[in-house]
Order: sequence, then structure tokens, then C-alpha cells
Amino acid sequence: MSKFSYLLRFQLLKRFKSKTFVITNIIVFLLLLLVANLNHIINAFDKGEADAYIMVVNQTGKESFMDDLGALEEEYYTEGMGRIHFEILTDYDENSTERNILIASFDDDILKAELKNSHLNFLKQNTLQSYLQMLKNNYLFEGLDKEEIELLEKLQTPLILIVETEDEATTAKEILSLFSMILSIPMFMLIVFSVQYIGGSIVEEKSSKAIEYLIANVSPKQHFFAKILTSFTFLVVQMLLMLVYGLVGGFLSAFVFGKASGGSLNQILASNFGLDVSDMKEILTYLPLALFFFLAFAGLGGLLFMVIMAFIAAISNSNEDFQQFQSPLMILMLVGFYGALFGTMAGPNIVVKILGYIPFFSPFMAPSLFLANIYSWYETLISLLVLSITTYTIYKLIMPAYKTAILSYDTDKFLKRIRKAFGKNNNNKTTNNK
Amino acid sequence: MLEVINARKDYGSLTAVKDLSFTIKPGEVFGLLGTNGAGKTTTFKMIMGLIEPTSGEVLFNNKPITYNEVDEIGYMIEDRSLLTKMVVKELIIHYGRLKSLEEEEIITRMRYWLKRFNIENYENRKINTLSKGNQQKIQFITAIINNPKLLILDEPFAGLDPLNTLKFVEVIRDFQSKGAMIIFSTHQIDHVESFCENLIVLQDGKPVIAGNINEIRSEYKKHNILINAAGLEEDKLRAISGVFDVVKDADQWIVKIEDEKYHEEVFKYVKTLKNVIKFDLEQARLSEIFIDKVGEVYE
Repeated sequence: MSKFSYLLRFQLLKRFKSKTFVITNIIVFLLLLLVANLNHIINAFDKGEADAYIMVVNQTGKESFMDDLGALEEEYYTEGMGRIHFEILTDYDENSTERNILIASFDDDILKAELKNSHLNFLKQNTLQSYLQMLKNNYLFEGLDKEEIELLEKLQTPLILIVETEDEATTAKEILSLFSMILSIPMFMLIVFSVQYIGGSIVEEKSSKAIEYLIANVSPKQHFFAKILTSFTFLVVQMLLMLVYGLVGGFLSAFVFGKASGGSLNQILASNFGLDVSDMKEILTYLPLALFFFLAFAGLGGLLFMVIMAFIAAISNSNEDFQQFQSPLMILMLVGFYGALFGTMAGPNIVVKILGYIPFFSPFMAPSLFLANIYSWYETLISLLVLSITTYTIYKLIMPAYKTAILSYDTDKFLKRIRKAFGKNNNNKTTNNK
Repeated sequence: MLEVINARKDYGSLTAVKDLSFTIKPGEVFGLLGTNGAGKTTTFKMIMGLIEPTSGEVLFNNKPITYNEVDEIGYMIEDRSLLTKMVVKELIIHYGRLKSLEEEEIITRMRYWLKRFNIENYENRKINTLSKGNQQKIQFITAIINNPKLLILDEPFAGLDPLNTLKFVEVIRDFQSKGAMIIFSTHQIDHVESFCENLIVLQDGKPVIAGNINEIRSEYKKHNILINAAGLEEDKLRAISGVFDVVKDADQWIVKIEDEKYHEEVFKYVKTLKNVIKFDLEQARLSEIFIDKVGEVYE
């Protein structure tokens, strides 16, 4: 096994065997299970909405009034919502403290109702309103012939009809837009963790002077690549693990706790998430490309930040130095993250679109803008290309300076250390390691 | 064989090492001395290839040192270079693997050395829980775990008590007897005298004393006379021709003379005294030569 392979294996094992990794993954797994099955969990604890009781003082003179109300409740009752029970109150006293007293009467042939001592919630109040509105219309239309009713109905037709264009956000697009925000958060956290890890790991070796032993035995280039590859592998593995956790959660939600038993994937998912099959189909058509962009941007963006962070750690002599020097990079990452969150809300704004092409922001913004339908696929691809070129260029620039910086213990100021690192390259030991 | 040929290292306008040349043969222990900032660590880093000489070259068995040769070299850094959050066993295995050794072999060698340094119970202890002296031992073990042909030791005895210093010296002598080349720097100049054959003293990056220790001492004219006698008068000693200093050291006097030939004059005076217990002529100590050449106390 070459020293590089050993170093890579050593660092990967150290990373994946760490208690932090195991505990984090247990928490993430449980969280994703929880999120994917939130509807089932809520239903399991939800005993249904309580029934409501309304005491009706029937001053309408219509004997059928109570039956009419009851019939509407039977017709429009929704499963799990709690029923409305109507009971006649004959000896009504104005000073009664009885709850939910509905006093119904006619005022010039128009049904009028008053609800006293209401303890109904918002939904029940709305339901009652709609029942009474329907009864009001029905009573008004009584005795009218068909033509008169049609004429009245025509009068209620809106003057302006709003026609949705093809570009108008559909339910599917709204969900995808929401998805972009949900995906941005774990992506940001993963990149930050990976980037922080590489920096912390290098600073630990440098501040303890162990770096001199390491660089005496493996070239700075191999050391650098081992660090980058470890962090990158960690990032990819963690992203895939999260994807697996999400799929396990989805599977449990659909097949174990849900009602899905057969049919197409579209149907199963649609029924599970309470969406139309057509919306789910649209989401599933769009999602693979979106996921590809998310993974590609996370990978390449992570790589860009790792390369820069490795250099920042290399010019730091201590953890205090590192905490101070890494701030500008962390701020850039935060700007990108907030850009992803708020950019999708702002819509197709020119500033948002431009920010999405800037490499330090694009890892977070571009895939979100694509999911939010602000970027087309080719705009997203252009942003990805710009990011790739920038990452490669920055790597080529930083690599020779890393060799110098990693063995230097200069105590100059941040910018002077950078200038010195780029100004000279001391290590020329042949790198033809076994 | 290790050859440093006209090595020079500049950091901008500062010259850390200048015109440095020396050779170390198999089985030789070589001392590199100098005050702080004299260029000792820079020299070691140039040998290890951690920094490239501005001019000159370093050859190991007639070839420049590359990453192909480092497995034959052991390097102990002046500052402790240990990953202190690791367990002793993990760290030694990690460093040994970077010397291309197999894990089983490293464990066997590690247990041997831990036992030899009386720290076999610390195999599974975290480095940061060990005392400074024991950390120094671990660092020494990481430098010798690969049975190096060239052993570079930058201040190996720093922070060690006399007993452990003796253990280190024994191990260094073992490697010497096996034909290893050893170069080391130290602040304890007695060690250089006791087991170095050749040395270089650096001052401001330049060699001020170089060569075989015995030759250096014999070429150095100044001598010391150690006297233990009753009734000795310091002023009378100082008045003798060739005497340039008289120092009281515990129960004896050290009389420093410009040349060996002046000892007879001193002896004539001492003969006049009663109860002379000791009169001993010796070559100047290395530390005295050092002070004389470098102009300051070796510290």
C-alpha cells in the first residue's frame, strides 16, 4: 500500500469511526424518519376534532329548518373533522349562558342568523357560515321557476375571469420551490462540516508540529490530496447516506404506515403526500435533474471551499489563527446560503440571477434557483461550468503556495502570510513516492 | 554516507546557513552545536528536504534525498511533533506506516522500545496524558521505529532527567554500533564531548569550529590546571606569566593558561605550598572552546 493510500485510509477511518460521525448519523436518520412520517405521527396522536353542539332557537317559522341544517351536515361532513350537532332550544332565555346558541329568523324573507356565546373554532364557524349561506339561497330560490334561478346564478358569475398561463406556478412547482429551501439547509450544513473538518485537521497537525514529521515522509501534494479526498469522500458518503435515510423514511411512510399497497410510484407517492397524480408526475420528472444539480454543486462547491480552507489552515499556526482567518470564507458561504433561501422567494430577479453565477455563491444558489424555476437547465449548467473552471484554477494557484505555507510558522499578518506563501516555494523534494 | 556540500539558506535578506560542509560516515556520531538561531534546525530541515538549500547540496549515499530515501531516515524534531489526542499505540503505528512498515512489525518494535524505556504500560494511554519526559520518549521511538540508517536528532535530550538521558545515549550508541549515521544537536555540551567524534559549531549560520573533537581540543592552545592545595594565593597565581584566569571551583582552583608550556611556572609556585593534593594539567573543555570562539556561553 502506498503512503498516499495509507494516509487516505487512515484519515477516512478516523473520520468514519469517530463518535461524532456515528452520533450525527443516528440523529439525522431519526430526524429524516420523523419528517417523512410526520403526517402519520400527527394522525396517530390526533384523536380527531371534537364534535360541536349548537343550540338552535328556530324563529324562522320553518318546521324543516332543523332537518335542513342536519341534511347539510350529513352531506358536507369531512372524515376526522368532528361533527356539528344541531339541537332545538325551545325555552330560550336572552340571559342564558348556554354555549353556541344560534338564533335563526327571517328578515323580509331573507334568512338571518345570530350566534351567541360562541365557542366554535374557526373551521366550525366557517362551516356553519357556509351551511347558513346555502340555506339562505335555497329559501330565497323557493317558489322561483328554473329560468329565474338561472338568471340569479348568472348575476353571481364574476365579471373578470383570471386565466392561468402555462408559466403560472402549479402545485408541483410550488412544492419543488419549497423543496429547494429544504434541500439547501442540509447541503449548507454538510459543506460547512466538511470544510471545517479539513481546516481543523490541518491546523491540528500544524499547531502540534506533527506536520514536519508528516511532510518529511509524504509530499505536501500527497498530504493535501489526502485531506481533500477524505473530506470530499465524507461529503459524498454523507449526502448519499442522507438520501438513503430519506428513502427509508419515504418507504416506511408509503408502505408501512401509509395506505399504499399497489399502483404506480406516482400514485403511491401522490396518495401518500395528498397530491394529484399529475402533480406528483411533474415533480418526479423534474426531481432527478434537480438532485443531480444539487449533488454536482455540493461536490464541486465543497471542493472549492475545501481547497481554500486547506490553504487557510496551512497559513495558520494555531487554532486561534485559523478561527480568525476562516471568517471571510464562512461569510461568503453564508451569503450563498441566504441567497439560496431568499433568492427563491424573490423570484426571477436579475441580481439573484447574477449572484447564482458567482462561484462562491453558486454552490448553494444555482440548484435552488433551478428547483424554483428561476434558472433553466442550461443556465444552471453554465453556472456549474463556471464553478468547475474556478475550482480548478484556484486549486492550481493554491497548490504550490500550500507547500510553502504548511511548513512555515511566520507570525506576520494574514495578508502578508498569503503574499509570502505565493511568493516562494521552498519544498522541491522529489515526489516520486512509492 | 551523508554529505552536506557548501549548503546555504537565505530567507530574503537573512542568511540562516552559509558555506556549510560536512560529511558523516556510517557508524559516526556527529554533533551540531550553536547558539539559538545559529542555523542548526535549518540545517536539519535541509537534510530532510523540508526546505531546499538556496545553494549547495545534500547527498545521502551519493544521491539527493527524495521521498524514496526517507524510509531509511529517522527524524526527531526539536519541538514535540506528536498528535496529542491520539493513543500512544495509534500514533506509533501511524508514524511507522509513514515509514512503509507493516503494522505487525511496528507493534513488535514498539513493544520492545516501550519496554526498554520503561513505559510499556502507556501503550494505550493518550499522548496528552503523558509527562513531557515520556512524550519525549515516544517521539524518540517514532524516530527510531524504522531502524534508520541516518538518525537526525534535534535536541533529543531536552526535558529529560539524567537517568533517561543516559537511556537515550545508550540507544544512540546501539545505533552507532549497528553502523547508523547519527547527527544531533544539543544544549548539553557534555554529551558532545562524551560520544561525538566530529562536530560543527555554527554561529549566525556560519561554521566557526569544525572537525574532529580531539583534534580541535589539541589544536586549541589554552589549557587548564586543576589544583587542590592548602594556602594557595590567587593573586600569586594571576601574577605568573601565561596565566590569564583563575577560577575557584568547589574545593579546587582552575588555572587557565595561554599555552601548555606555561604549566611549569605554575608548578614551581605550587611546589612551594604545603599539602598539595592535586595538580592536574588538562586540555581546555569544549564549552570553553565554544565560549572562546562564539563569544558567549553555550545555552
